[in-house]
Amino acid sequence: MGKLINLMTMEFKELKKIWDTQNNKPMYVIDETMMHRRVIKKKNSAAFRVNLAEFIGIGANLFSASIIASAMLYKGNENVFSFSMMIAMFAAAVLIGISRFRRKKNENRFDRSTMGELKHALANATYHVRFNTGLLIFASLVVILTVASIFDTENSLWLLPLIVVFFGVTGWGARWEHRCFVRKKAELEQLMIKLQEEPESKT
Amino acid sequence: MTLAAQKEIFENWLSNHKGLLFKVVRAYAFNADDQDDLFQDICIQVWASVPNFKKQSAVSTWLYRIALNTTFKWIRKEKKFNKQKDQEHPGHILHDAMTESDDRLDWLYNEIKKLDEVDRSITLLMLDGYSYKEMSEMLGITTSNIGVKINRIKKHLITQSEHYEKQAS
Repeated sequence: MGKLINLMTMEFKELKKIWDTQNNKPMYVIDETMMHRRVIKKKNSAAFRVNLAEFIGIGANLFSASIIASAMLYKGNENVFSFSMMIAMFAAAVLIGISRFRRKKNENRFDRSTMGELKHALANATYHVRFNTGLLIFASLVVILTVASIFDTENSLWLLPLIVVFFGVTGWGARWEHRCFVRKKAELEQLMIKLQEEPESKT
Repeated sequence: MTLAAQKEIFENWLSNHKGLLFKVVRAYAFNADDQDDLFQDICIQVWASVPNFKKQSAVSTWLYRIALNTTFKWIRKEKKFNKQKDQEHPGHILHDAMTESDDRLDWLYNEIKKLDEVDRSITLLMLDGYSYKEMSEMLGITTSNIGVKINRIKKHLITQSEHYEKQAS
Protein backbone atom coordinates (compact mmCIF):
# COMPACT_ATOMS: atom_id res chain seq x y z
CA MET A 1 0.00 0.00 0.00
CA GLY A 2 2.87 2.31 0.97
CA LYS A 3 4.59 1.56 -2.34
CA LEU A 4 1.41 2.32 -4.23
CA ILE A 5 1.09 5.68 -2.47
CA ASN A 6 4.74 6.46 -3.25
CA LEU A 7 4.22 5.57 -6.91
CA MET A 8 1.09 7.70 -7.04
CA THR A 9 2.93 10.65 -5.50
CA MET A 10 5.73 10.31 -8.01
CA GLU A 11 3.35 10.22 -10.95
CA PHE A 12 1.31 13.01 -9.49
CA LYS A 13 4.47 15.12 -9.42
CA GLU A 14 4.57 14.72 -13.19
CA LEU A 15 1.02 16.05 -13.47
CA LYS A 16 1.95 18.94 -11.24
CA LYS A 17 4.94 19.73 -13.47
CA ILE A 18 2.62 19.88 -16.47
CA TRP A 19 0.29 22.11 -14.49
CA ASP A 20 3.09 24.42 -13.42
CA THR A 21 4.22 25.05 -17.01
CA GLN A 22 1.44 27.61 -17.37
CA ASN A 23 2.47 29.62 -14.32
CA ASN A 24 5.05 31.71 -16.11
CA LYS A 25 2.99 32.34 -19.22
CA PRO A 26 -0.11 34.53 -19.32
CA MET A 27 -2.94 32.33 -20.58
CA TYR A 28 -5.00 35.17 -22.01
CA VAL A 29 -4.64 38.79 -22.96
CA ILE A 30 -7.45 41.29 -23.16
CA ASP A 31 -8.21 42.64 -26.61
CA GLU A 32 -9.03 46.32 -26.29
CA THR A 33 -10.30 46.73 -29.86
CA MET A 34 -12.83 43.98 -29.33
CA MET A 35 -13.76 45.46 -25.99
CA HIS A 36 -14.39 48.82 -27.72
CA ARG A 37 -16.56 47.20 -30.38
CA ARG A 38 -18.55 45.36 -27.77
CA VAL A 39 -19.08 48.56 -25.81
CA ILE A 40 -20.30 50.36 -28.96
CA LYS A 41 -22.75 47.53 -29.53
CA LYS A 42 -24.00 47.87 -25.97
CA LYS A 43 -24.28 51.64 -26.38
CA ASN A 44 -26.31 51.26 -29.57
CA SER A 45 -28.71 48.78 -28.01
CA ALA A 46 -29.15 51.03 -24.96
CA ALA A 47 -29.87 53.99 -27.26
CA PHE A 48 -32.30 51.93 -29.34
CA ARG A 49 -34.21 50.78 -26.25
CA VAL A 50 -34.49 54.25 -24.78
CA ASN A 51 -35.55 55.81 -28.13
CA LEU A 52 -38.19 53.16 -28.57
CA ALA A 53 -39.48 53.67 -25.03
CA GLU A 54 -39.73 57.43 -25.57
CA PHE A 55 -41.54 57.12 -28.89
CA ILE A 56 -43.96 54.56 -27.48
CA GLY A 57 -44.48 56.75 -24.40
CA ILE A 58 -45.23 59.85 -26.47
CA GLY A 59 -47.36 57.96 -29.03
CA ALA A 60 -49.40 56.00 -26.50
CA ASN A 61 -50.14 59.04 -24.35
CA LEU A 62 -51.09 61.24 -27.32
CA PHE A 63 -53.26 58.47 -28.79
CA SER A 64 -55.04 57.73 -25.50
CA ALA A 65 -55.52 61.41 -24.72
CA SER A 66 -57.00 61.96 -28.20
CA ILE A 67 -59.40 59.03 -27.75
CA ILE A 68 -60.58 60.45 -24.41
CA ALA A 69 -60.90 63.92 -25.94
CA SER A 70 -62.95 62.51 -28.87
CA ALA A 71 -65.21 60.59 -26.50
CA MET A 72 -65.78 63.74 -24.49
CA LEU A 73 -66.49 65.84 -27.54
CA TYR A 74 -68.62 63.49 -29.63
CA LYS A 75 -70.19 61.12 -27.11
CA GLY A 76 -70.50 63.54 -24.26
CA ASN A 77 -68.64 61.26 -21.80
CA GLU A 78 -67.71 64.18 -19.65
CA ASN A 79 -66.58 63.79 -16.10
CA VAL A 80 -63.84 65.36 -14.08
CA PHE A 81 -61.77 62.16 -13.98
CA SER A 82 -61.77 61.63 -17.74
CA PHE A 83 -60.87 65.26 -18.22
CA SER A 84 -58.02 65.00 -15.68
CA MET A 85 -56.75 61.87 -17.35
CA MET A 86 -56.74 63.52 -20.76
CA ILE A 87 -54.80 66.50 -19.40
CA ALA A 88 -52.37 64.18 -17.55
CA MET A 89 -51.73 62.18 -20.72
CA PHE A 90 -51.08 65.22 -22.85
CA ALA A 91 -48.80 66.56 -20.14
CA ALA A 92 -46.96 63.23 -19.94
CA ALA A 93 -46.39 63.23 -23.72
CA VAL A 94 -45.00 66.77 -23.55
CA LEU A 95 -42.78 65.92 -20.56
CA ILE A 96 -41.36 62.86 -22.32
CA GLY A 97 -40.66 65.06 -25.36
CA ILE A 98 -38.83 67.65 -23.23
CA SER A 99 -36.93 64.96 -21.39
CA ARG A 100 -35.87 63.38 -24.69
CA PHE A 101 -34.72 66.75 -26.01
CA ARG A 102 -32.57 67.30 -22.92
CA ARG A 103 -31.14 63.80 -23.11
CA LYS A 104 -30.16 64.24 -26.76
CA LYS A 105 -28.64 67.63 -26.01
CA ASN A 106 -26.44 66.10 -23.31
CA GLU A 107 -25.11 63.38 -25.60
CA ASN A 108 -22.29 65.63 -26.84
CA ARG A 109 -20.44 65.42 -23.54
CA PHE A 110 -19.29 61.84 -24.19
CA ASP A 111 -16.07 61.23 -26.11
CA ARG A 112 -15.55 58.33 -28.52
CA SER A 113 -13.11 56.39 -26.37
CA THR A 114 -14.17 53.00 -24.99
CA MET A 115 -14.76 54.58 -21.62
CA GLY A 116 -16.66 57.50 -23.19
CA GLU A 117 -18.91 55.14 -25.15
CA LEU A 118 -19.51 53.07 -22.05
CA LYS A 119 -20.37 56.17 -20.00
CA HIS A 120 -22.80 57.13 -22.76
CA ALA A 121 -24.40 53.66 -22.69
CA LEU A 122 -24.62 53.80 -18.92
CA ALA A 123 -26.17 57.30 -19.00
CA ASN A 124 -28.83 56.03 -21.41
CA ALA A 125 -29.47 52.95 -19.29
CA THR A 126 -29.76 55.06 -16.12
CA TYR A 127 -32.12 57.44 -17.91
CA HIS A 128 -34.16 54.49 -19.12
CA VAL A 129 -34.52 53.03 -15.63
CA ARG A 130 -35.64 56.44 -14.26
CA PHE A 131 -37.95 56.94 -17.22
CA ASN A 132 -39.55 53.57 -16.60
CA THR A 133 -39.95 54.28 -12.88
CA GLY A 134 -41.72 57.53 -13.82
CA LEU A 135 -43.98 55.69 -16.23
CA LEU A 136 -44.90 53.13 -13.56
CA ILE A 137 -45.87 55.93 -11.17
CA PHE A 138 -47.81 57.65 -13.92
CA ALA A 139 -49.57 54.38 -14.74
CA SER A 140 -50.80 54.20 -11.12
CA LEU A 141 -52.37 57.63 -11.57
CA VAL A 142 -54.03 56.44 -14.78
CA VAL A 143 -55.41 53.37 -12.99
CA ILE A 144 -56.89 55.52 -10.19
CA LEU A 145 -58.43 57.97 -12.66
CA THR A 146 -59.82 55.18 -14.84
CA VAL A 147 -61.44 53.37 -11.92
CA ALA A 148 -62.80 56.64 -10.54
CA SER A 149 -64.15 57.52 -13.97
CA ILE A 150 -65.93 54.15 -14.20
CA PHE A 151 -67.49 54.62 -10.76
CA ASP A 152 -68.60 58.07 -11.83
CA THR A 153 -70.38 56.64 -14.90
CA GLU A 154 -72.86 54.17 -13.42
CA ASN A 155 -73.74 52.41 -16.69
CA SER A 156 -70.17 51.20 -17.29
CA LEU A 157 -69.60 49.37 -13.99
CA TRP A 158 -69.47 46.05 -15.86
CA LEU A 159 -66.18 47.24 -17.34
CA LEU A 160 -64.53 47.24 -13.94
CA PRO A 161 -63.36 43.57 -13.87
CA LEU A 162 -61.99 43.90 -17.40
CA ILE A 163 -60.11 47.06 -16.48
CA VAL A 164 -58.69 45.41 -13.34
CA VAL A 165 -57.47 42.41 -15.34
CA PHE A 166 -56.04 44.65 -18.05
CA PHE A 167 -54.12 46.86 -15.64
CA GLY A 168 -53.05 43.85 -13.59
CA VAL A 169 -51.48 42.14 -16.59
CA THR A 170 -49.98 45.39 -17.88
CA GLY A 171 -48.56 46.20 -14.45
CA TRP A 172 -47.00 42.75 -14.12
CA GLY A 173 -45.45 43.08 -17.58
CA ALA A 174 -44.18 46.58 -16.84
CA ARG A 175 -42.51 45.48 -13.60
CA TRP A 176 -40.88 42.53 -15.36
CA GLU A 177 -39.62 44.86 -18.09
CA HIS A 178 -38.38 47.28 -15.45
CA ARG A 179 -36.34 44.54 -13.79
CA CYS A 180 -34.80 43.72 -17.18
CA PHE A 181 -33.72 47.34 -17.64
CA VAL A 182 -32.28 47.45 -14.13
CA ARG A 183 -30.31 44.28 -14.89
CA LYS A 184 -29.00 45.74 -18.16
CA LYS A 185 -27.88 48.84 -16.29
CA ALA A 186 -26.12 46.71 -13.68
CA GLU A 187 -24.31 44.81 -16.45
CA LEU A 188 -23.02 48.07 -17.88
CA GLU A 189 -21.87 49.22 -14.45
CA GLN A 190 -20.00 45.95 -14.01
CA LEU A 191 -18.35 46.34 -17.39
CA MET A 192 -17.33 49.86 -16.40
CA ILE A 193 -15.59 48.56 -13.26
CA LYS A 194 -13.81 45.91 -15.28
CA LEU A 195 -12.72 48.38 -17.91
CA GLN A 196 -11.37 50.79 -15.33
CA GLU A 197 -9.29 48.03 -13.81
CA GLU A 198 -8.13 46.20 -16.91
CA PRO A 199 -4.98 44.31 -15.94
CA GLU A 200 -3.44 43.75 -19.34
CA SER A 201 -4.48 44.72 -22.80
CA LYS A 202 -3.73 44.04 -26.41
CA THR A 203 -4.41 46.61 -29.12
CA MET B 1 -10.59 52.47 2.28
CA THR B 2 -10.25 55.13 -0.40
CA LEU B 3 -11.06 54.35 -4.00
CA ALA B 4 -7.44 55.01 -5.00
CA ALA B 5 -6.16 52.51 -2.41
CA GLN B 6 -8.71 49.93 -3.53
CA LYS B 7 -7.66 50.45 -7.13
CA GLU B 8 -3.98 50.10 -6.32
CA ILE B 9 -4.50 46.84 -4.40
CA PHE B 10 -6.77 45.47 -7.12
CA GLU B 11 -4.26 46.22 -9.87
CA ASN B 12 -1.48 44.72 -7.81
CA TRP B 13 -3.49 41.55 -7.18
CA LEU B 14 -4.37 41.17 -10.83
CA SER B 15 -0.88 41.75 -12.08
CA ASN B 16 0.58 39.20 -9.64
CA HIS B 17 -2.16 36.58 -9.60
CA LYS B 18 -4.09 36.81 -12.85
CA GLY B 19 -2.76 33.39 -13.87
CA LEU B 20 -4.75 31.90 -11.03
CA LEU B 21 -7.96 33.52 -12.28
CA PHE B 22 -7.26 32.30 -15.81
CA LYS B 23 -6.87 28.74 -14.52
CA VAL B 24 -10.31 28.88 -12.93
CA VAL B 25 -11.80 30.43 -16.08
CA ARG B 26 -10.25 27.76 -18.28
CA ALA B 27 -11.37 24.92 -16.04
CA TYR B 28 -15.00 26.05 -15.81
CA ALA B 29 -15.83 27.98 -19.00
CA PHE B 30 -15.50 26.15 -22.27
CA ASN B 31 -16.13 28.71 -24.97
CA ALA B 32 -14.94 32.25 -25.56
CA ASP B 33 -18.28 33.87 -24.63
CA ASP B 34 -18.44 32.03 -21.33
CA GLN B 35 -14.79 32.75 -20.60
CA ASP B 36 -15.38 36.48 -21.12
CA ASP B 37 -18.47 36.34 -18.97
CA LEU B 38 -16.91 34.40 -16.13
CA PHE B 39 -13.71 36.45 -16.15
CA GLN B 40 -15.78 39.62 -15.96
CA ASP B 41 -17.79 38.29 -13.02
CA ILE B 42 -14.65 37.20 -11.17
CA CYS B 43 -12.93 40.56 -11.71
CA ILE B 44 -15.95 42.39 -10.33
CA GLN B 45 -16.08 40.19 -7.25
CA VAL B 46 -12.35 40.53 -6.70
CA TRP B 47 -12.70 44.32 -6.93
CA ALA B 48 -15.60 44.28 -4.47
CA SER B 49 -13.68 42.00 -2.10
CA VAL B 50 -10.63 44.26 -1.71
CA PRO B 51 -11.95 46.17 1.36
CA ASN B 52 -12.92 42.86 3.03
CA PHE B 53 -9.45 41.33 2.84
CA LYS B 54 -8.16 41.07 6.42
CA LYS B 55 -4.77 39.52 5.64
CA GLN B 56 -5.68 36.36 7.55
CA SER B 57 -4.70 34.28 4.52
CA ALA B 58 -2.40 34.63 1.54
CA VAL B 59 -3.69 36.82 -1.29
CA SER B 60 -3.66 33.83 -3.65
CA THR B 61 -5.82 31.84 -1.22
CA TRP B 62 -8.22 34.74 -0.93
CA LEU B 63 -8.39 35.14 -4.71
CA TYR B 64 -8.93 31.42 -5.24
CA ARG B 65 -11.80 31.53 -2.77
CA ILE B 66 -13.40 34.52 -4.50
CA ALA B 67 -12.85 33.04 -7.96
CA LEU B 68 -14.31 29.64 -7.06
CA ASN B 69 -17.31 31.07 -5.21
CA THR B 70 -18.04 33.41 -8.11
CA THR B 71 -17.68 30.52 -10.52
CA PHE B 72 -20.17 28.36 -8.59
CA LYS B 73 -22.64 31.25 -8.59
CA TRP B 74 -22.00 31.84 -12.28
CA ILE B 75 -22.67 28.16 -13.05
CA ARG B 76 -25.95 28.28 -11.12
CA LYS B 77 -26.94 31.46 -12.96
CA GLU B 78 -26.06 29.89 -16.31
CA LYS B 79 -28.10 26.80 -15.51
CA LYS B 80 -31.02 28.86 -14.26
CA PHE B 81 -31.33 31.32 -17.08
CA ASN B 82 -29.66 29.28 -19.80
CA LYS B 83 -28.81 32.63 -21.25
CA GLN B 84 -29.26 33.06 -24.93
CA LYS B 85 -25.81 33.81 -26.21
CA ASP B 86 -25.32 36.81 -28.40
CA GLN B 87 -24.16 35.29 -31.66
CA GLU B 88 -23.26 38.65 -33.17
CA HIS B 89 -20.26 39.40 -31.02
CA PRO B 90 -17.73 41.18 -33.13
CA GLY B 91 -15.02 39.28 -31.24
CA HIS B 92 -13.92 38.17 -27.85
CA ILE B 93 -12.33 40.11 -25.07
CA LEU B 94 -10.10 37.34 -23.79
CA HIS B 95 -7.60 35.98 -26.27
CA ASP B 96 -5.46 32.92 -25.98
CA ALA B 97 -1.99 34.22 -25.23
CA MET B 98 -0.06 30.98 -25.23
CA THR B 99 2.75 31.33 -27.71
CA GLU B 100 2.78 27.59 -28.30
CA SER B 101 0.17 25.17 -27.08
CA ASP B 102 1.21 22.47 -24.67
CA ASP B 103 -0.54 19.22 -25.58
CA ARG B 104 -0.04 17.75 -22.14
CA LEU B 105 -1.53 20.81 -20.46
CA ASP B 106 -4.50 20.76 -22.88
CA TRP B 107 -4.99 17.09 -22.02
CA LEU B 108 -4.87 17.87 -18.30
CA TYR B 109 -7.48 20.63 -18.65
CA ASN B 110 -9.67 18.28 -20.67
CA GLU B 111 -9.47 15.71 -17.89
CA ILE B 112 -10.28 18.37 -15.29
CA LYS B 113 -13.29 19.49 -17.31
CA LYS B 114 -14.69 15.97 -17.12
CA LEU B 115 -14.84 16.11 -13.31
CA ASP B 116 -17.82 17.49 -11.42
CA GLU B 117 -17.76 21.10 -10.19
CA VAL B 118 -16.44 20.41 -6.69
CA ASP B 119 -13.84 17.86 -7.81
CA ARG B 120 -12.68 20.34 -10.41
CA SER B 121 -12.07 23.00 -7.77
CA ILE B 122 -10.28 20.48 -5.53
CA THR B 123 -8.08 19.48 -8.46
CA LEU B 124 -7.10 23.08 -9.19
CA LEU B 125 -6.25 23.70 -5.55
CA MET B 126 -4.43 20.39 -5.23
CA LEU B 127 -2.31 21.08 -8.31
CA ASP B 128 -1.49 24.52 -6.95
CA GLY B 129 -0.27 22.95 -3.73
CA TYR B 130 -2.94 23.97 -1.22
CA SER B 131 -3.23 22.02 2.01
CA TYR B 132 -6.31 19.98 2.98
CA LYS B 133 -7.08 22.55 5.66
CA GLU B 134 -6.97 25.46 3.21
CA MET B 135 -9.12 23.56 0.73
CA SER B 136 -11.55 22.68 3.46
CA GLU B 137 -11.88 26.34 4.50
CA MET B 138 -12.27 27.54 0.93
CA LEU B 139 -14.82 24.97 -0.16
CA GLY B 140 -16.68 24.29 3.07
CA ILE B 141 -15.95 20.54 2.94
CA THR B 142 -14.45 18.57 5.82
CA THR B 143 -10.73 17.74 5.57
CA SER B 144 -11.47 14.00 5.68
CA ASN B 145 -13.87 14.37 2.78
CA ILE B 146 -11.24 16.39 0.91
CA GLY B 147 -8.76 13.58 1.56
CA VAL B 148 -11.12 10.95 0.15
CA LYS B 149 -11.87 13.05 -2.90
CA ILE B 150 -8.20 13.83 -3.53
CA ASN B 151 -7.28 10.17 -3.41
CA ARG B 152 -9.98 9.36 -5.92
CA ILE B 153 -9.04 12.27 -8.20
CA LYS B 154 -5.34 11.40 -8.11
CA LYS B 155 -6.05 7.78 -8.97
CA HIS B 156 -8.33 8.84 -11.79
CA LEU B 157 -5.86 11.34 -13.24
CA ILE B 158 -2.96 8.93 -13.02
CA THR B 159 -4.97 6.19 -14.74
CA GLN B 160 -5.97 8.61 -17.46
CA SER B 161 -2.39 9.80 -17.83
CA GLU B 162 -1.30 6.20 -18.40
CA HIS B 163 -3.88 5.88 -21.21
CA TYR B 164 -2.68 9.20 -22.59
CA GLU B 165 0.97 8.15 -22.51
CA LYS B 166 0.13 4.85 -24.21
CA GLN B 167 -1.80 6.61 -26.96
CA ALA B 168 0.98 9.15 -27.41
CA SER B 169 3.73 6.56 -27.67
